[in-house]
Amino acid sequence: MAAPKYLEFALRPRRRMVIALTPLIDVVFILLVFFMLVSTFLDWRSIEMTTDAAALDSTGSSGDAPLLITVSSAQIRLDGRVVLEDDLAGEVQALLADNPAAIVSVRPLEDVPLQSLISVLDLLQGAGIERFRLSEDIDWEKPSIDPSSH
Amino acid sequence: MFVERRPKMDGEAGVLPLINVVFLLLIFFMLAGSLGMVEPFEVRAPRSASGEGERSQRVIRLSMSVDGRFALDGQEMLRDILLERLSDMLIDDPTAGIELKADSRLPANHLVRFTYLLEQAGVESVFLVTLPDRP
Repeated sequence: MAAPKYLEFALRPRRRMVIALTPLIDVVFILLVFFMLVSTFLDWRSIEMTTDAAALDSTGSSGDAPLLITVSSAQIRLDGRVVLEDDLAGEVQALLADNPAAIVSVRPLEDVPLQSLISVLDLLQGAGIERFRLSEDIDWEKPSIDPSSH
Repeated sequence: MFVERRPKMDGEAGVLPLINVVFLLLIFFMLAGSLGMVEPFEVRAPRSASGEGERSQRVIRLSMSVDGRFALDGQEMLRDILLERLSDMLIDDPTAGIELKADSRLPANHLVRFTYLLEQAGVESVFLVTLPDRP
């Protein structure tokens, strides 16, 4: 006597699984290793940089003398005066209160590393001074590294 | 001594728990991690307390090594070639910003000078990539 239609599937002899598992695991492992190596969990952030190049092109058109902060490896100077790191933000704020249109210009001197410049920018941002421009030390000479030698 | 005996599973069914775990790990890394850029040289991003998070603007990624080498989208090239390529890319997408990952030990003047060049090449905004300060 033939089995009823709905039982046909259950009674059929068990076959091999349609998808073989070993190749599947291979692929999944490769994907796993790829994502483990490529993904980063670092919290990247960014600071917008503006330079005073545009201001240099149109010399004198903007009447406000910028406040110049120079950063050297030993000290920070504000308009030529040496200031302590802790006093910098307060002094800049006082000067900006007198002349709200002034723009803070930050100039690294000599071979000051980028990290020192960023620290000064942090001090300014911490004090709520958002408008700043970067300015170049004209006397700075590019180190004699020839990129084509690599 | 009592040893737990696991029911013997036939053939490939034994690896199913393994696949479960591997799939979970895979999905975790796909969702939690973000794809980083592979750089041709080492770049240590500077630390900063005041960086901003993600931006929606499309960016072109540049890297600058401690000895002043340049890379565009992970491919090392000379500065002048890079600037040329960049202006070509800006013709297609004039509003694209630049995400500049520069080494924290690089002389800052090097970066300022390069930013001048970028602005001359017609870049609207240059963002310096930083990492948050260590707590």
